[in-house]
Amino acid sequence: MRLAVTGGKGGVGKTTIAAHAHRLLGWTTVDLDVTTPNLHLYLDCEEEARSRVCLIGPEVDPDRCTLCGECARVCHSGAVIVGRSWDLDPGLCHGCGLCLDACPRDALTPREIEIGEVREYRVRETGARLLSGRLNVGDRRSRHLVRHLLDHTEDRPRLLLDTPAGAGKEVYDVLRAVDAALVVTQPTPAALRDLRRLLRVIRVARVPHVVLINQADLSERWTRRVEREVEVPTWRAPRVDDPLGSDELRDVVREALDGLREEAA
Amino acid sequence: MRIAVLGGKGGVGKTVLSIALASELGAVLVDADVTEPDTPAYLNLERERDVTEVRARYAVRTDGCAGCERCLEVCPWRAVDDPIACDGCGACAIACPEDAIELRETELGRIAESREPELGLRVVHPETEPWAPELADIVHRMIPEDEDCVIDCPAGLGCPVIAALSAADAAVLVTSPDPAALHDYRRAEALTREFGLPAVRVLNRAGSDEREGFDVVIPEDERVLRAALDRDPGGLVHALREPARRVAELLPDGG
Ligand code: SF4
Ligand code: SF4
Ligand code: SF4
Ligand code: SF4
Repeated sequence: MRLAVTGGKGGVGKTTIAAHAHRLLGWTTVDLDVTTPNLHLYLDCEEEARSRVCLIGPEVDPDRCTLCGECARVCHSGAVIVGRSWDLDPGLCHGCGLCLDACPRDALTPREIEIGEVREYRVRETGARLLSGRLNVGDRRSRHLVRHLLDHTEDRPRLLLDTPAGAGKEVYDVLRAVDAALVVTQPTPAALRDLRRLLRVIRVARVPHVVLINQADLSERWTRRVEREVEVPTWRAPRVDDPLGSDELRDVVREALDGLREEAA
Repeated sequence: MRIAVLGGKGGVGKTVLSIALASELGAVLVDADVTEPDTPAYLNLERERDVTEVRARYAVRTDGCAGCERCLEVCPWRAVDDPIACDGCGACAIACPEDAIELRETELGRIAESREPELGLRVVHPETEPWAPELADIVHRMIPEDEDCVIDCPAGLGCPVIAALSAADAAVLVTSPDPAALHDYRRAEALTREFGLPAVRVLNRAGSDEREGFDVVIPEDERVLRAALDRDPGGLVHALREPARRVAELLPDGG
């Protein structure tokens, strides 16, 4: 089973819950929050390997290029500009390869454009791996790095995925790649609002899911509203002093994961 | 003056501080969290007008399709025939040898301008489907042209945050003291530096002994949480008035 831990609003405890889920399941885990990856800080782990993630863009041979402009014409992202010289803005390239195919003079060859890296950690408690995607600061291609990690782990039958914050296209990409989702929320008006939007995306992606209401004792009123609104099983997790060390929280995550497996069956 | 409020990690208090700061400065509040806009959950907004529609294109295969799958090869998201995943870039249409891709237009919502009567605050906020593409473009369209504004950035440091920083004159960096938030905060600080923006650094929900390297320290305050739960914008701004005032003073030209 491939399982996502997700939570629309930032700060509701998604990563803490993902850390508990990792320790309970012992599965390879992927941190897809690539602009601000931090699951490795929630687990006792050591780094074992690092690899660069690159898109394949064009490199020009000025001796062959006649400045005909064909490559710029097919470049939908505006990364190639041909005027009195041939210019590439590597930050805009999406690695589609259309320019490479389009050049009638064979003046373009593939080159790597780095967007970030993947760090591979070994988690001491479980012996399992954590793959952490890290986008270069300032790069705009987070969705490409998420895609890279999803493709890279496609063949793993058991996988835990920590999704990015929000409810946008990257989150949809992750949801499309999993069998079930554990949705983390909190009993506040803002978290409920975000939850509604996230559930919309989850329904479109048709993913079985359950909802864990973290720090449910913050507000009985808003906890009830969450429970009333969602149409799937919910679990209440309490506020605790040491969330990562708490057996109480761990037990709730275990129950929610069991419930999720039932939903997905 | 345009001020971007960012922090990297979610839940550190960006939105509540943005609301308090915009009230303090009498500036327009821009909610740049396009996929999960939260400001309406803290405020009692009265809608004034639609600023603009948000439209998008998506690619579908039509009758001329010969099934070669070239379009799927060039699409990084394999999003042909999937309007939710497609970002309308058009690469597949350029690649199709049969000219069989059609890019269809659809409306995904609007950018709205509302008023918070109690605070006298004007808010520009997105009301789109969460899967709207080109978030950076939407953020740019929300930023008013010649008015002061406070831009409340989403969690993370993706396109919308970069768009906000590229339009801003100054940044307010917010974090809480926990290690994960500080880790993300340092990445946010590095990004802000790339744009060469002056920044006010805020430590929110601080304990007693942490303050090194911060310009403004806001202690843990139950009143903020209560105001959020009660949807009491006046109470929220009241609880954060002092720190918001200090942030405003530290901004270039006092905001
Ligand atoms: S690979 Fe695609 S996006 Fe990159 S420069 Fe070539 S055509 Fe443009
Ligand atoms: S298509 Fe080839 S020859 Fe023409 S401008 Fe591009 S690189 Fe130069
Ligand atoms: S590239 Fe064109 S012809 Fe080939 S599968 Fe796609 S739409 Fe059909
Ligand atoms: S328009 Fe772009 S994103 Fe959409 S299917 Fe075509 S290549 Fe993919």
